[in-house]
Amino acid sequence: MCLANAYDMESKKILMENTKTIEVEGDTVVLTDLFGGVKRIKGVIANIDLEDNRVIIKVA
Amino acid sequence: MPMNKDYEPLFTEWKIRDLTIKNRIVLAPMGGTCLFGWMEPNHFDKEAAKLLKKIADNNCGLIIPGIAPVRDVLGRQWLYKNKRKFDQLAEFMDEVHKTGAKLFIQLTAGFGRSMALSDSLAMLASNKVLNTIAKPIIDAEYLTAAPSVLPNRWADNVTTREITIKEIEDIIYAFAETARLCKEAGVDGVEVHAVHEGYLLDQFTLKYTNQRTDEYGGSFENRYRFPVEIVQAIKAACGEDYPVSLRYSVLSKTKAFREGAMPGEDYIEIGRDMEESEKAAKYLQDAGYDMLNCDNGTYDAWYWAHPPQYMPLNCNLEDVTHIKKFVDIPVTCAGRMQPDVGAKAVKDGDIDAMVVGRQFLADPTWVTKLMKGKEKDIRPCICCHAACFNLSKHEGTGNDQDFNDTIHMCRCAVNPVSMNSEHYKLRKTRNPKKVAIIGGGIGGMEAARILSIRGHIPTIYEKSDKLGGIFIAAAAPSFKEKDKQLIDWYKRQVKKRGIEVKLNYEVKNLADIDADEYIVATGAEANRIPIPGAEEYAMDACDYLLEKEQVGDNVVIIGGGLTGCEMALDLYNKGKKPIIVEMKNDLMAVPNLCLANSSYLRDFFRTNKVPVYLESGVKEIGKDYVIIEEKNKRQTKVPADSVIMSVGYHSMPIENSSRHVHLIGDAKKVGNLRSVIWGAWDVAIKIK
Repeated sequence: MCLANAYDMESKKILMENTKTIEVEGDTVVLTDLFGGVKRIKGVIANIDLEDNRVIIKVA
Repeated sequence: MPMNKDYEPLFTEWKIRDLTIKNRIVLAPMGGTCLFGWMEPNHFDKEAAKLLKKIADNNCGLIIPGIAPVRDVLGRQWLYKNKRKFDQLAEFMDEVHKTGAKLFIQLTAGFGRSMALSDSLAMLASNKVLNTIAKPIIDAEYLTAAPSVLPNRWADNVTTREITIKEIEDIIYAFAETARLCKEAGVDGVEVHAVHEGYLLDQFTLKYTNQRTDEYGGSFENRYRFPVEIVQAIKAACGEDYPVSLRYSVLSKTKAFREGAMPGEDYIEIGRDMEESEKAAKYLQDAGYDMLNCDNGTYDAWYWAHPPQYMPLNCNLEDVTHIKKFVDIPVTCAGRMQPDVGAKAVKDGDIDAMVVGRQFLADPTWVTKLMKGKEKDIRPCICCHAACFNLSKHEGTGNDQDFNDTIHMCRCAVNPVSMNSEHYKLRKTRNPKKVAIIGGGIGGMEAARILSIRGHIPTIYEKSDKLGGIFIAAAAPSFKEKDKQLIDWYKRQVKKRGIEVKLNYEVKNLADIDADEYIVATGAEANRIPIPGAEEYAMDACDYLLEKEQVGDNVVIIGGGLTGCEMALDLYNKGKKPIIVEMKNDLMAVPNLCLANSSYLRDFFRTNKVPVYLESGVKEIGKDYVIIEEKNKRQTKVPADSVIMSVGYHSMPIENSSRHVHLIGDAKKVGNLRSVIWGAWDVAIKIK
C-alpha cells in the first residue's frame, strides 16, 4: 500500500506527500492525502510513475 | 556535597599487568571518537582529542578512543605509514597523563560482513568493474572481505569474498607495527578490536561465519588463530609488559543471520555459547591478552552491544561476571552500566571496572559530578542513538543513515557540543535581550537554558500546567526511565538558572507579549486518517501514553513507526495483546533510526508473536473490531477493544518565522529529540 508524492513539473518541488487520491475537475487537479488534506491545483497531470510512486503536475 | 558512599569501590586503583589505573571507570571505545579520524584518511583528530581530554579532565580512569582501522577505509593507507600523527599523539599523551588518566588505543582488523554498506557502497562491493575503478579511494570488496563467503549484514544482495592469507598476514603486521608506534608515542596500551560484536576477528572465531578449510578455520584453535597471532605479534614488537586488551563478547546471543536472542530467551546459539566462551577466554588470556573488555552480541544481535532503552540496565553484567571466573586477567563490563550496580560488582569482585560510553557524550563531566555528590546535575543519556550511532536499515535497504552522520559519528542528540564543538560554541552576549519562548517542551527549555547561559533574559510561556511538552508522553513507557530523568534535569536547570516560567498561559498572538525576540516552540499535532469509525473509536498516541483513555486487552495500533512500535512494546509488557498495522513494507521504515533500536523491536515482536500486518491498512473501525485490508486486498476482521492511531504529526506554529520570530523543534519541522535540541541551539546561539 504505497502512496504517491505529487511534484510540480517546473520547480520540482513537492506539492503533496502521501497522496491517496487524484481527481481532475476541468482545469483543476484535486489532490487528497492520507490524512484527508485536500489541495486544488490549476494544471494538468504531466506524468505518473507507478513504480516510483511519483505524479508530476504541470501547474498552470 | 559528599559523594554517595556506595560509589567508593569505583574510586579504587586497579592494574592491567603493571599499569596502574586510578579508578574503575573506563571510557568505552565508540566509533567516531578515534584519535586518528573516522573513515577519512588518518590524521591526528583535534575534535576527538578535545572531547577525550575533557573526559580525562573529569576523572575517567582509562580512556579508550573509538576504533582505529589499521588500514584506512578511505584512501586505504596503513596507519603505521603516517608517522607525523604519532608525534602529535605523543604531545597529546603528555596532556592526558597530567590528568592522571591512562589511555589505550583500540585498533581494528576490520568489519567483514558487518561493514555497514550503504546502497551505493553495496553497488561497488557487488560489481567487480566499479570496485576496481573506485579502489584507489575505497575498496568496498576488501572492506567487506570475511573469513568465508557470507551475506553482508546490511545490503541484501551482497556477499563477502573470502579474505586471503596474505591479507591476514598484512593485518597482523600492521597491528604490531602500529602498536609499536603507539607505545613510542607514550600510549599506555592497545586494545585489539575485536573478538566482539561480530566484527572481522569475531567472524573468524564463530562457526556460523567461518567455514574455512585452511589453518584459520575448522578447529577451535584454528578459529581463534587470527586474534592469537595478533597479540603475539604485538608482544614481539612491544615487549611482554606492554598491556594489550581484547574487546570481547562473552556470548554472541545470535539465533540466525540478522536475528538476535531476547533477554531471558531460551534459544539455540549459533555463535559463541558459554561453554566455548569459558574455554576461549582462558585460551586468549594464555595467548597473551592482559584484559578482556567485555559485553555480548553480534551485528545480528546488535542490541546487546549497543543496548537501546528497551534493554535492561547492566544487561551484560551477569554473563561477564560468569566469564571472570575462568581468567586471572582483569575483566571489564559494558552495556547500560549504572554506577551503583557497577560499584557493587567491583566491590564483590565480579568485574574489575565498569565501561561507559554514550553517557560521556551526553555529559563528559558526569564522573566529576558523581564525585561531588551532584548526581542530579548529570544530563542523562537516553540511549536513543539518534546522533551518536544512527546507522539504520529496513526491508530492502542498506545502511540508509544520512551521509553526514556516516562521516560524523559519536555526536549526541542531547548534547550538541560533543564531537561538534566548533559548530556549537557559546558566546556571551554584550546586548542582553528579552526573549519570549512560547512552549515549555524540551525545545523551549533548551533554548531558554542556552539563552540564559549567554546572558539573555528568556521567559517561557506554557499553556498547560507543566513543563515537558510532548516529551512527557514520549517518556511515559516503563522502559523510558532515562527520558523521565531528562525532563526532570531540564526542569532543575530552568529553576537553577532562575528562568521565569508562566504556566497555564496560552499565547495566541505574539503582539500580546513584550519582548525583543520570540521563539515559537509550540510543537506539533497528531495526524488523523479519515477511516470510517475513526472519529468515534480511535484515540491518539498521546491519549494512551498520558492515560487520558484506558485500553482494553486487544489493542490495534494503526502505524508501525517508532512511536507505534514503542507503544506495542509497552502494551505487551503490560499484558495486553497489541496488533500493528503498517502501510509500508517494514516497521520503522525510516532512515537514521539506529538498527540496534529497530532490530530489538522487530525481533521482540517476532519472538513474542505480536501480529504485524505490513503493506496493509485499516478500512473500518467498529466498537470492538477493525477490518484490515492487506496488500492482496484480502480483508480480515480482528477483535479490537481499543484502537490507537499513530500516523505521525504535523507542525503547529502559532506564527510564521520572521526577523524576530524564530521557529524551533516540531513547530518548525516534525523530527526527534535531536532536531529539537540542536534546533534550539541553532537559534539560541545566534540571537546577538
